[in-house]
Amino acid sequence: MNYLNKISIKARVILYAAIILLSVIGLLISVVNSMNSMAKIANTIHQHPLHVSNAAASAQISELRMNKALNNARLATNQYDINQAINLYDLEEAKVYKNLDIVQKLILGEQGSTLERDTRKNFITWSGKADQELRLIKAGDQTEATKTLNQESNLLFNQLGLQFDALNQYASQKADDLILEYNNQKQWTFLFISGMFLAGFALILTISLLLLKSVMRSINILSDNMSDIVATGHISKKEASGNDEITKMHRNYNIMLDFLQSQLWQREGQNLLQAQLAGDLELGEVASQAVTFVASYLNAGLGVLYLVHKDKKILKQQASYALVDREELCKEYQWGEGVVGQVALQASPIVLKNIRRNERVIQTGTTSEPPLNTYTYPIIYEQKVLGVLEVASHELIDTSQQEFLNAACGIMASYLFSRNQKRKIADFLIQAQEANNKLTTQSIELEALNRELEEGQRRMEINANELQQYNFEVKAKNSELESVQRALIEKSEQIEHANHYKSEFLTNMSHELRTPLNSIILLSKMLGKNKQNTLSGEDLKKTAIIYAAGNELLELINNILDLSKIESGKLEVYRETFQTQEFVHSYKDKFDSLALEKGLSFIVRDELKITIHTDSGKLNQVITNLLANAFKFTDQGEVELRVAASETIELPLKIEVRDTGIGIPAAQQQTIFEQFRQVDGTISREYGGTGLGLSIAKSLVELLGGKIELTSREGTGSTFAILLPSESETVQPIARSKQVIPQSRFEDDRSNLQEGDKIILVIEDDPYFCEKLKEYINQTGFKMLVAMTGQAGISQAEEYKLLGIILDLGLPDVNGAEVLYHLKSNARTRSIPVHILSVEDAQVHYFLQRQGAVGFTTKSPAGLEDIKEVMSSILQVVEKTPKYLLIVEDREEERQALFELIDNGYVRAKGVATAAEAIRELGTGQYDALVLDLFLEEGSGWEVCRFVKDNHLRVPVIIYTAKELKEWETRELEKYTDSIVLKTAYSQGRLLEEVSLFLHKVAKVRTIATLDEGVKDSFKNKKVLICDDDAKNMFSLSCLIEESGAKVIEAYNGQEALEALKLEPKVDLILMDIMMPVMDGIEAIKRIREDKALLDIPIIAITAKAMKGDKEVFMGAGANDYISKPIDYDILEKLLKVWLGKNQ
Amino acid sequence: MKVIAYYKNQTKHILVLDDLKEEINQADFLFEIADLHLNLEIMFIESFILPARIIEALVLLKEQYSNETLKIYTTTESLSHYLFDMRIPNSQMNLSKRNSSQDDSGHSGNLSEEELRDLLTGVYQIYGYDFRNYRFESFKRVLSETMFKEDLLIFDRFKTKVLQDDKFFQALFLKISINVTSFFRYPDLFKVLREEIFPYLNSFPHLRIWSVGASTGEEAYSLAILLNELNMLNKSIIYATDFNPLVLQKAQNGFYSLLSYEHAKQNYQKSGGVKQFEQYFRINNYYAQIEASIKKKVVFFRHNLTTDKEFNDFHLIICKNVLIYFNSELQEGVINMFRHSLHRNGFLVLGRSENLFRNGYDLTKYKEGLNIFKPASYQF
Repeated sequence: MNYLNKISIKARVILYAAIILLSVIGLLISVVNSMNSMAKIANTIHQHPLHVSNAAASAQISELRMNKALNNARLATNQYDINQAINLYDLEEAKVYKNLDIVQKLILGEQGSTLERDTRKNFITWSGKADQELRLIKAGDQTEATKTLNQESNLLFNQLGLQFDALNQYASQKADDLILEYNNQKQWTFLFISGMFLAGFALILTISLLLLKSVMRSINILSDNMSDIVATGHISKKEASGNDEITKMHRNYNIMLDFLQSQLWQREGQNLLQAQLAGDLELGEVASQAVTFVASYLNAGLGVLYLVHKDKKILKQQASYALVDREELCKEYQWGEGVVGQVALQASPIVLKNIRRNERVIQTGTTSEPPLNTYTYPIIYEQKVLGVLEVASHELIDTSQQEFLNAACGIMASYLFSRNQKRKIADFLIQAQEANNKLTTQSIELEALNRELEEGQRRMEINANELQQYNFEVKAKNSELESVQRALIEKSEQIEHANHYKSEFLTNMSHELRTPLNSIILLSKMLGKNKQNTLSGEDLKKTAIIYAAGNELLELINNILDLSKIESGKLEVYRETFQTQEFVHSYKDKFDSLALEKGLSFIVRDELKITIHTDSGKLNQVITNLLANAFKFTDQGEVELRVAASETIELPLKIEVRDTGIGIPAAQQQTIFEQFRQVDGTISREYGGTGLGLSIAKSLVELLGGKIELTSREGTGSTFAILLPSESETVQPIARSKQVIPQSRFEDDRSNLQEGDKIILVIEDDPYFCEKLKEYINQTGFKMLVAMTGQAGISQAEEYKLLGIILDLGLPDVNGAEVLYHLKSNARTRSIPVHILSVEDAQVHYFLQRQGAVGFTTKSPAGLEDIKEVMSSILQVVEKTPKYLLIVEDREEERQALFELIDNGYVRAKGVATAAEAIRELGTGQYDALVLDLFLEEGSGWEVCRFVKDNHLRVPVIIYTAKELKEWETRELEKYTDSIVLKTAYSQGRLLEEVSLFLHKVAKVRTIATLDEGVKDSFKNKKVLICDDDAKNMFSLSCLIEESGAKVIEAYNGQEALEALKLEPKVDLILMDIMMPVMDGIEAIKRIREDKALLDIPIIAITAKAMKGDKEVFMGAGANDYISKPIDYDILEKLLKVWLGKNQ
Repeated sequence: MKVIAYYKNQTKHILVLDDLKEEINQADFLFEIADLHLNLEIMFIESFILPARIIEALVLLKEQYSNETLKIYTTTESLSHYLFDMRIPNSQMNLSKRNSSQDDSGHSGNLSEEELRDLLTGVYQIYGYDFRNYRFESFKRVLSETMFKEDLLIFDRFKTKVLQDDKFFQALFLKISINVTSFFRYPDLFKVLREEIFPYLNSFPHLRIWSVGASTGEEAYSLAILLNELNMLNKSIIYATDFNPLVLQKAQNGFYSLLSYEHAKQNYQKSGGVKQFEQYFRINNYYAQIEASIKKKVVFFRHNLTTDKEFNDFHLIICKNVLIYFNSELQEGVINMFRHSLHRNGFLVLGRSENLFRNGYDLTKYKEGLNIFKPASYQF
């Protein structure tokens, strides 16, 4: 075997091939040999026995033919036939001889030859005989020859036959023998070949195995080596022995492994180095990691890393490995200084071998020995030297390690560089980030500011617009005001003129009037004296009356004159100085008798006892008037006249008239100073007087520079206090008394009121407006009262029986809202319906309505078209009172509470507790509205709702319930009403609103669009699914479609629609809204179209969207058509006809 | 939308192309980021906004990666700002090159009214958004700025760009229609709502509220929070509409920057809120997200006041600082539409500087100083 290994594989293979070839050839030759011998035998067979047999057979046949010819000749009648027969005989005889020759030639064996000889002999004999016979026959001697020869020849012939047979047989036998031999030969050949074959096979196999083994050995060694490496991961070498090619290959392979190993080692080193240096390391860390790793990887004893120091040409030691610090060692090198500096300068490595240096020693624990080899490499990045690395070691560093070192320096270079860059970048980044942060915040702020500014700008603009608008309006108002002003001025001029005329007139008239009056008085007085005693008691009485009447008339005329004088300012003040004591005591005399008459005590008291300087005449008039009134209105108690000091500094003098009379109600205290006013219109009848006195008194006092104050309590008494300034003050007479202009009297209907009149009180200070109102009010058959101040209004509302009040919010004395409040808080006036006029924008509508007003109108300053509206709204309210409200609530307390809340005089509320009762009540048809709780003890609110709907009662329903409703409940309820109020903390306000709304406005039943006549009921048996979250819309649509005869299925969002379709997929049409919660229309349409069972159902989208592109979205999702909101019912009808009528 | 992922230099790059026509397919994206790699770079091209799940995914990624290993790029300012708000750092890339100045005509970049009308008509015809009845001034500044920045000072060029480049239009459109909003803005309004209006409305069995011009949703969510505190949220639904679909997406996401959350808290307290404001949000280091129970009750829809009409019946309609952008003709139409969408006991709230200074409306003022209105005549 071993020597085989020495031969090359090529040689082995060639050898192998040669052997095989030879074997094959050998085999072939033997096979051919056998084949040949077998062929010989076959040939022999073919040659000899077969031929012999054939020849024998032929000879026999020929012989038979000869016999036949002989017989023919014997039987032949003519010469011709005889000749024919003889010819034939000869022919055949030749053949026999020929065949016999063949036999003779070919027959094998002695026996055969003998047999042939005998046969031949016999044949010759026979043929001779036959010949003889023939000659005889030919000659014509037939009979004799024939007989004897015939017999002999027949015998011979038979014998010949037998002999021929025997020949045949002999030949066959021979043939058989030969065949047997052939078969034997064949058998042997077969065995031989098989044997040869097997031998050859074995030989080949053996040789092959040998060859294979020898070849495979080397290969296996190599392959094992390889698989070892694969399995263990380490590179290991195995020696190759031998000379063959594979071994050569193995050797090469080993070399390659070596190479690879070193490469791997280098790469690993580089990778590890990179791994060490990767990550976020500081510069110092990078350096020390690098040095440490490189030195240890190289198994160097020492390593130092120097870095270039910031552009200066200095190399500073940055890190080291196993270095012991010595003072004399340099931590810095200049560029070019020492080996380190030199390396830096020349930018290429310097290797010093076998050096002894005394400065550096490899320090281990046990030895200190200077290294022998130093390797100083520059660290270059992009042709710039960043530093220098030096390692020192005992052993020489081989090429691979040097390469590694080189590569390591390259890596370090890039890391150091990037570290530097990183640091720079980090610095920059921090700066940038800070800046960025600042920027971001600033920009956000800026943006926000910007937007605020923008908005502010816009707002300003709008405000500017508004201002402009207001400006216009103001201008308009201004010009109106101007014209009004002009009118006013004109008016006042007219008034002036009128006044002037009036006073002239009065002066004249007074004189004219006085003259006859004087006569009347005088004469009646004279008559009264009855000097003649001619008059009867009756007549005296009459005279007294005439006298009294005359005096009254005179007083009246005086008063009127005074008043007019005061008004026209013609009254003059004559001041004089006098004593109060004297002054007041004079009254004692004057009134004592009257006091006595009435049974009252009259007290006069002067607490000051001073001198005053004023117009005593006028003062006298005033006091007299007051005292007269005091006595007039007092039936019991006392009257006191007092002079005292007042509390006010400006008017220090107080003259008081106090009585214990009937007093004056607070509401009237203001008005009694008005002209022609008395507390009660009826008083004048009882107490007399014209009602001018107090107003004159007031004017006179004011003329003197003072004022009158009144304190009074109804039933207790009154105190009139005259407050005057002290004498030193010079008082300007008031030219006009204040009351005149605002108190421009307005003629309302109070003077012609009758029983049963329908009265409207108008609280309004604009007389022009009042005039218009009055016209209208009177036209409609009502009477109107006017109050020009809030106070007056309040008191009049109490005083009269009013049907309604029109209240202006802008009143001179008090805010209209307060008036309303007073009216509504006073039990007497609470139930009177109030309609409010206001000049401002109706901003307090809501608030006032909560207070209980029934209507509002904005009164525009110029136009009065609203009057009609005002009136009609009031009249509506007023005419229809009272309103009937049915409250269906099973809880007693709640019903009661509702009553109190709602009942305000003109609303009659009735309460029931069960549904049945409610239905019964509603049947009477008298109710204007219904407040309904859903959950009753007996029956349910739903029944009532249904009753209302089914019977088409025009009664609006307000649901007022405590229970929280589920969505479907709300929807169901919304079919009956859109007024559903839950009982919550603040719900009463809303309830009231709803109630008053329903009661006071004309109850419009929901207008439902209706279909054309031709369409009604035309879609019976059709089913339509409506999907919409808008209840109102749903209601309208379903009513409409139900009218057309189809059945409606409702769904309130896409989800519900899909569920409904699952239950009833055989729908004829779907109306789908788009904007719905839970699942919107587009999604729902898509889902519907995904379902095969629902593919054919037409879908019409209901959409509020009309933007370009919207249509495509829902048509694209699968809708067949669409209709826009708000729904045009004509279009809907058409669509129904198209999509529902299709299958009819 | 397409998501393309490839590897290069040990980094997985993911590009998300948003063609703004379909919705962002979140599944593809989430799949691509499923496995961790050494480095990851994601670029959102042409997206102005991202849906909630993607934002959440980005936040998760931020947790797992560091700033060096995860980089996110956007191409639109809008998305970049949104991500910054969510404390997801990113870089905005400018895909188009800035043209060197081609125009020396000295055009100042101001639009005349005629030009503006022309532009707006074009916008309406091509995009379907009808700005023709807005106030001119609202646009002027933004458009001038844009013209200047994009160096399209010649009006025709600018108009062409707007009408042909729909991304450009989108970005511009965003700038114009951004509505400044914050939680519980105008605390005194919310006070009134809390103390007067909602208690009054509590007497309704179910409430529908319409927040018009919902923008990024703060107002709508504030209403929901308030209703929740009054125990009325479960019977209410808030419909929040805006015509800007991108801003609606932000609202639907419900993510808000931590800074705006702080402001929101302050405003909430000013408006009279005394509960723990945190309970309404889920807060992490990046953003504050509206809590699901609040979000559930707010539904968002696109609705354009210039073209779309009423779609439901509401008990409260709040439309603040939208009308100021409209001219008076459009305002009239919109206010009438509001009136038709308002229940007779309902309230309409307008912005502070928005007044109905024309008297022709069927509305009256409820309270001075706050521009809250009620229907004046009561129709059934």
